[in-house]
Amino acid sequence: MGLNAPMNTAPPIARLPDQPAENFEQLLEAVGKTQDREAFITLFKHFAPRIKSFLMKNYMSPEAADELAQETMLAVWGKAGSYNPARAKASTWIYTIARNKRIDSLRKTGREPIVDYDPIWVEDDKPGPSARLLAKDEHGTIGEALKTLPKDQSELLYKSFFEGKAHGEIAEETGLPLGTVKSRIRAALKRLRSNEQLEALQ
Amino acid sequence: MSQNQNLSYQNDLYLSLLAEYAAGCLPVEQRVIVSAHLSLQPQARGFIRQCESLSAALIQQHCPPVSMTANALEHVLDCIDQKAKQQRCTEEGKCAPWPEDLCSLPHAIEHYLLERLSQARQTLQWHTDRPGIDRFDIPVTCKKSQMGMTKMAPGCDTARREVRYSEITLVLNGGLGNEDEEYYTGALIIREREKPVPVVHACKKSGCVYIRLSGAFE
Repeated sequence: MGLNAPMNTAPPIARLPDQPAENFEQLLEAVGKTQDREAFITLFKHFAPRIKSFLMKNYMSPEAADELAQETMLAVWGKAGSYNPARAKASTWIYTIARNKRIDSLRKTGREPIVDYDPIWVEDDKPGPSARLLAKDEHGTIGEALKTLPKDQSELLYKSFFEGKAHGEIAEETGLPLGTVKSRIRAALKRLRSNEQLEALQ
Repeated sequence: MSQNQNLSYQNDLYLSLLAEYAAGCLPVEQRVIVSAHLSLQPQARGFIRQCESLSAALIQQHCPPVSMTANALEHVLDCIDQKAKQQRCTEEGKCAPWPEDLCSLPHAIEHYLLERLSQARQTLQWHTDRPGIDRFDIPVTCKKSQMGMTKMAPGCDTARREVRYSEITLVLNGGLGNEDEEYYTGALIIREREKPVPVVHACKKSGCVYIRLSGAFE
């Protein structure tokens, strides 16, 4: 399955015009299994504007962000066959592709080779979170949990996991010793992992 | 002797390494090794998945949608229809310029080696370090680091050595160990600099192939 595969002419799966978030997994599966064009359009309309927003917040021009958001959605089309809803929410999967695309685009300007390292769509032999758990508002739960962190920890998580900055870069930017940056990020992650609501996602 | 899948599985350096990997900000050589580690020890992906969920939650929280250009969707659909985006040819890997005993390298390492060896116009050739231990140096992108792959014959011992720079070792095949612990395929061993390393021996049945990156955290 991929961009080279012929388009499937099967009718799209029935859905409401305004998709609730919990159906993104179904839509992505439909793209992967039957190359459902309507499902892809719905995903595009929801995710592409958010991906563009994410890229612009990371200092990309609106034009470049638009282009990379389109590339991301093309990759979503091409890789949807490897999506497994038992392993990740559709949004996590799609945003991971967006982040990887952003990283790749930054590396294209340097001499570093681009390594195909997308771990999220590599199957493993251990069961992931069940569909029941994924039906929960995982991101909302994480968002709430983030609010319980001390500011010095949540800021560092933001710099690392949203802005994609290396720990050394964060240390330079904040003036904190590298060891402190690393230990605060670890402490924040441990705290999130010990959060009762998030335990279910582990 | 205890069997240790991963010396540093729970230690701080290991978690920091995985966290930086998940955030996408590791230098390429470290990224390659962690990626290969994850493919060999899939249980470690749980932590990566949590970090990816965290990133996605942050995007959801901080990125309200903005308008795409008017023809963005049309353009993407055109690309799909025209099959403009070609999938990268994976056939290249089948004629990789390395010996047959390395044909099943993890994808990330295979991809990296192909890229680097082709850029350096080199082929992979082992040279003997000492009887039973063959090694080749892998060209790296960062001058401060050194990367190499080592093949130890079954039961073969290494010399005692001191770690001058911090290093990451990934067992690719077989096993190795010392008097306290043993490490098998997929184990990631992180050593801090200036720590003495005991003599290690390769598994008596299968020997060992490992990849090591030195100067990783300098």
